[in-house]
Amino acid sequence: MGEHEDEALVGDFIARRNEGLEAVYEAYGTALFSVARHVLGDDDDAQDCVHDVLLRLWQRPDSYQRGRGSLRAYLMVCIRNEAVTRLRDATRHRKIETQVAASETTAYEFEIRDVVESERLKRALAVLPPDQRSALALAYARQLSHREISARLGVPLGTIKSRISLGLRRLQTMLPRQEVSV
Amino acid sequence: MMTFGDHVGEYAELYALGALEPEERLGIDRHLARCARCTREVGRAEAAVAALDDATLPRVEPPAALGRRIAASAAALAPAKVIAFRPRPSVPMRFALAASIALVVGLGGGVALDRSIGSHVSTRDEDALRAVAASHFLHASFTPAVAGAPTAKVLYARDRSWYYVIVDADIAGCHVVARSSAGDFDAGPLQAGLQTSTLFVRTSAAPRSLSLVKEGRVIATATLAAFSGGP
Repeated sequence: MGEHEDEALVGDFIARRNEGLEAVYEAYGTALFSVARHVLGDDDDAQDCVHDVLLRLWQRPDSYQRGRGSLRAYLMVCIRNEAVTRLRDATRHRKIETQVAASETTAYEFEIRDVVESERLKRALAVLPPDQRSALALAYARQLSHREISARLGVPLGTIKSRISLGLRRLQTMLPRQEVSV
Repeated sequence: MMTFGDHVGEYAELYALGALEPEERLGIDRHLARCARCTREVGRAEAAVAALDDATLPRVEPPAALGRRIAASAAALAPAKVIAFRPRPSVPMRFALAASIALVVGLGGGVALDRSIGSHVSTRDEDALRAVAASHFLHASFTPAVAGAPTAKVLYARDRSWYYVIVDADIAGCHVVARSSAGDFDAGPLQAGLQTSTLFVRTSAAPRSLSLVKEGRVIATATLAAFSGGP
């Protein structure tokens, strides 16, 4: 998604103005909720996650620096990280482990839903070596940590880190860039 | 605590994908606070993950209640930094707090929020402010038992550690009575304000219902969700 973020929106959010939080939620609420809902699989849990993360970051504006890039992407990743952490809590995590083990395979793939972006993403994924694509898909779509992926695939941790990193960097060059006016 | 060499390197992508453990993320956050180069690297990885999200995730509209909840929490948090404590409760401040919370629960749709009024707040009202902002909570409406009973709601913690009753009227001489398996007890009188009356209560009694009682007569009752006793 290519877009220029509204400088005033970013400024109001960083300055901890109420209108900044409201504008951020209005602009990015659907994207943020979609990420949380996808990871957690539950409306109530997703609402709690988005509420808690937005309020926490809004109260600590120094956590986001303009040099980082897109505020939208930053918030989406914060939501993903928080949702994944909650998902990994005790019983929930055991349930996911069971689900993953039940579908044991070494070939994991992405599920592409956006029609407009699907061809571009398919082309990008097609050029990735299968081992990079599988490691990336396990991290992204299955929300497994690099340690869990290493154990799952029986591959050294350092190798998994490299596969994920290289895979995302190659995708990065082929996917639309998010831009921010700073 | 994990440490890095000069820069985060391939951890940038792991961080953006959520593939690190919390303590590893904390280590990166600390490094980013002092490294502009790695901040840009992580930002690029975050943009790539966001692009993946946009291409692969179904768009799900959040419930309208979420926006109201966020706005109310922000409204409740914003004035807290400038509050000066006074021994007596401030009616305007209590009204502002109750009004902001009422936005969450949809109480009396016409309640106006004015954060500029009032500059001090009672200990109880601050407790309510902090509890609502920091907790997961449920809410229930009071069912009138008599004609003309005011609209009222109660917000209460999922773990049943606190209860906040908000009545859409400046009602005097009205007590909140809690009914639990251990018996009934008087939780205290509502504190009347300009347009709302409130009562914030902390108790471990886990009542099944709350009633508004005036002059010995129940005027409205709220039935609370069943509680198993767990956190």
